[in-house]
Amino acid sequence: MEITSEHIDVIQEMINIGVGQAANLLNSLSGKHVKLSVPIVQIITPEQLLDFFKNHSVLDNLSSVTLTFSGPLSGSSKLIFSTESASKLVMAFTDQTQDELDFDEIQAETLSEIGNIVLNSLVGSLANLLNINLNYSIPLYLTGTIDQILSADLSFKDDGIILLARTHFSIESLAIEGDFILFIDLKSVPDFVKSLDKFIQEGGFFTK
Amino acid sequence: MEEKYLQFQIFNSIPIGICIINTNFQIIFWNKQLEIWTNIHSNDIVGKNLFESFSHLNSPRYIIPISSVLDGGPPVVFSTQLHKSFFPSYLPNMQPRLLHTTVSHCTCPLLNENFAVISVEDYTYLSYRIKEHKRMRDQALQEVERRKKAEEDLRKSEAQLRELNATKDKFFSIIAHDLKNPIGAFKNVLELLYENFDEFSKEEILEFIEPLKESSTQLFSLLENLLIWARAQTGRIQLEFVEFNLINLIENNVSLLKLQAENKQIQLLTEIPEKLMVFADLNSINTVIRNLISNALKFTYPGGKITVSAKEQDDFALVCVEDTGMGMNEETKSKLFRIDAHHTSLGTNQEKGTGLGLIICKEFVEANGGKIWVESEEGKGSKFFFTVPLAKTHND
Repeated sequence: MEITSEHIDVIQEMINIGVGQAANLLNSLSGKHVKLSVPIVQIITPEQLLDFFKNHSVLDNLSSVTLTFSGPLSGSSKLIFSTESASKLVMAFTDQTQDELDFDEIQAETLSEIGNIVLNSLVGSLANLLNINLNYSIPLYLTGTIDQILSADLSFKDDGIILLARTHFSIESLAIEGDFILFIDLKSVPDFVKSLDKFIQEGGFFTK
Repeated sequence: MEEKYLQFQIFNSIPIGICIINTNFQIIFWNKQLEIWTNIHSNDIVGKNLFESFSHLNSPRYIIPISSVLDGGPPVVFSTQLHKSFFPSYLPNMQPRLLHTTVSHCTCPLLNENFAVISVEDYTYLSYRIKEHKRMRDQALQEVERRKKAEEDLRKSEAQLRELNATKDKFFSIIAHDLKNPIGAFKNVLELLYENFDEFSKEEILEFIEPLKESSTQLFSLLENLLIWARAQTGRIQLEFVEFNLINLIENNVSLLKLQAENKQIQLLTEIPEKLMVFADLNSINTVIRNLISNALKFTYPGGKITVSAKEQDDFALVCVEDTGMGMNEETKSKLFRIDAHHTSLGTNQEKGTGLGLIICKEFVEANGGKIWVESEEGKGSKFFFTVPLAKTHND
């Protein structure tokens, strides 16, 4: 049972709904106009994921927030930033200046909240629309290389499916990019595909 | 506390604050750590509504995410920088504690009830330690900066002392050799003439006097340079920057030294435009030109040629005194403008020098905002270059 391009279109749409919710929550939290977008969702292999980070990010200095889930669908979702982007994001929310900002545990804790809001909205939107109940772990903040971040996540296995999308945060004049990763455990893939098929058969977004 | 909730008492023995609410937002458990942090006893809070007991939480910002968690949604984080503490709590010094809060869903299958677990971690001391660490790091950085500056000051002061010492050595060396020897020779010749005046013919007396005349000219020039230099060292030379035509200055010096050049059978030529306005101190630049031409005369063989040229280059006037004289090797060149490297050479007619002239030239050119350098090849002659800032407006 494979994920088809039609499934990806549906996932993309679900994530877009979640993005809208996340932007609203971030707006009310920061009191600023936050624009959030996730342009394209793509399915990739673990090797491609590593290549993506090698080509697009500072490999040694990443900050991540992970939300692990289990139940009818098991896996994890991650939001990964370069530490510089993470600093800028926290700076925008806390009105700190660059001089004061020295990324430490307190700032990491703030990034955990911001990342948690985004991940909750994206994963929550998927779970709500597919009408499945998930059990979630407490969000986990991690820094390090992409290898360290991935190896610290027990739910992340080489044989699962990885959905990758770059997120864009626009907060007033500031533009910050992070990467959203949704990892679905291989054992969950058939159920995930069934849930997507069911959603499509039931009329998809037209009935929601 | 209702008996069915007694199982939650296990949370009394952990060092984080735990509050559990049911789907009606009613507080059903309040652990010991929260009692300590908030001074609110479990008996006084259990059974009450969360939003009534803590009115600052009664806003959509908290109600919506907490409701979502109770409905089985993902956990929600409330960080210390973006929120007031969930439950007000103060340190003994009345400073508020920084409490990091996570609200997560919990289903109890035995009771068939859904709850939200509000777990609270104290970040106050962590924050304090981070601030203290940053303060100490900043202090250490300041100290490093201060020491670097002190070392730099010490280096500068040491260099100044070295230069002062070299200046003093140079001064004594000139007095000891370059002044004492010719004056000593004067004394000897004059004593000889005085004591045996009647024994010498007019022609013989003239023979004695002629080298004295040559020597006195050189001595006078040396004294002049020495005075200028001494005044420059004691800061008594005030440079007066004005706009003037550098070409006039070159022509004046060339015509003054023309006779000396002819006596040594040296051609003294110029390659200069009509006008080259510069902004500098006239007297010091005059000294530089005179010294460089005198130097060229000293080191050029009879039959040789000296050419003084000048032109515009970027924002400067570039002056070159080129001779076809004896030239210099690399070692001599490296010692030329340095007060700490003693160097003098005899001229092509055994003219004596002190090396002071070029040191004065360097000081004056640099004081006027220009540069001085030399290109030379042993046996082929030398080219001395220096620059003077152009006047801003008068070279159109």
